[in-house]
Amino acid sequence: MNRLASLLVHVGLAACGSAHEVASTEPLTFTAQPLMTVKSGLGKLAIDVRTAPLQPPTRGLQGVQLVIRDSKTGASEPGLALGVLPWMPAMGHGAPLTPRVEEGPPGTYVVSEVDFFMPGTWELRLSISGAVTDHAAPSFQIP
Amino acid sequence: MPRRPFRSRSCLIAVFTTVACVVVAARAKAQACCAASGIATPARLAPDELALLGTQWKVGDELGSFDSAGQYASSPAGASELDFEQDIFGAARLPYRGQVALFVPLVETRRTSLGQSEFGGGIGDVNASLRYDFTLAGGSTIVPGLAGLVGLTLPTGTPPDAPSLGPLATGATGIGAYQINAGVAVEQTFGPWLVSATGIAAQRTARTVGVAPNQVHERLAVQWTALVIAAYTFSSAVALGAGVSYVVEDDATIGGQPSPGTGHRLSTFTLSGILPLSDAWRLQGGLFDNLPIASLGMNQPGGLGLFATLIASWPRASSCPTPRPVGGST
Repeated sequence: MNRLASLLVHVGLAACGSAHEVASTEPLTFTAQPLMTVKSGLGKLAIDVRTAPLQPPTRGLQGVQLVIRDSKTGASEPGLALGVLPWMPAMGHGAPLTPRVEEGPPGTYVVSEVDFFMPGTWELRLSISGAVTDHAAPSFQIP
Repeated sequence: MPRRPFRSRSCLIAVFTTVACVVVAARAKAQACCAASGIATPARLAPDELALLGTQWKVGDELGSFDSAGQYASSPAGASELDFEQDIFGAARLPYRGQVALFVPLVETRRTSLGQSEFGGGIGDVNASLRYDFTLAGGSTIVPGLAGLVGLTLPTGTPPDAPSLGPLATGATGIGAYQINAGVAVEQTFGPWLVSATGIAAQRTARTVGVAPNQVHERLAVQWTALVIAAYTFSSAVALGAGVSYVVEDDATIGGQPSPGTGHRLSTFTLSGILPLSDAWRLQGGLFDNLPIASLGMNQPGGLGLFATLIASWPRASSCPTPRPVGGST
């Protein structure tokens, strides 16, 4: 009943726009074991994918660590520029937030504010440029 | 002024199919982005009505989701979603057996996940529709009621990827694309029983999102909806009904190429009732549920909910066809 009462208050506020309460943000810690390793579309790169704060990820804001290597030599690929677009291909839409990309150790990129806001299959569509030009789309099943 | 008989049984078909159609749209819109919005006749006139105005209030609780393999999983601990909708709709008679309707939704969503909670909403995608009844249910024992349906849904809502939204996208109220619908409805009466079957195809326009080179151009496949309803009318004019709908859609196309595993399906079961309040006013209500059974859904959230509808109608000079006696001739 308390939940319903709270919701009725929220409905009353709906016309005023949206409101959200955001939990405190903590530094992202990724596990040693990758969730998956994907090959890039042109086959030039191998990408280890980890997620935080949960692996596998759940709905809500997630961080994704991408460790990018040359698919043949295994050498890390530093200095790449990544374009990132979360996408729900079954629904035909993306997410309201634009992810931020920061490079850490050479070849390691952390994508924050990945907004898997609803359950279903999400892709993280990556356009990669710099020393290597390629693309990839690791897929996540969000419960 | 003599009291107008509330409805003949055949007229009640209109009421029940309206309820069911609205509920089908409701479940689809529960996730605004998944909208099969624009089920062709969300507000439908009975044959004896000249016009109507109504409002419908819905609440739905998302309990889980079907994945791309059709497996159902309950929402994880700490994650929840409640969907609300307050709709205003109206319909008016066109010459002879035509009618036009307008459906304006106000959509709100409450989501919680990973310690975040967010509430938002706004006006959804507005739908306009036309219906033409070639024959009327109850007019013949052989020829059932047959109607053609067309509709257009406008992207007046906010799509889920609008940058103005919060991180849980609760302000999403639309799909961001135009949608056109076309369908056929077949209806018949059998004594106090009403049976209706409706089929609708919906096509949405393509969307392009993002900035090159990371840009997506996607077109969702044609969405097919089948809806079957059975209802029983008591002598008091109170009626109870049950219905099931099945929505299915093939894989989407991204960049001109089919994207495997992106199709949809969802089954919705509905129980509903009608309580006449007066000549002009009626109250409708019921519940709907997406049964959490594997393979009844795919790539869709599932849950259950309640709805209530209040409708005021104005009669026209001519009324419903005279109900034929059970077992009567044409």
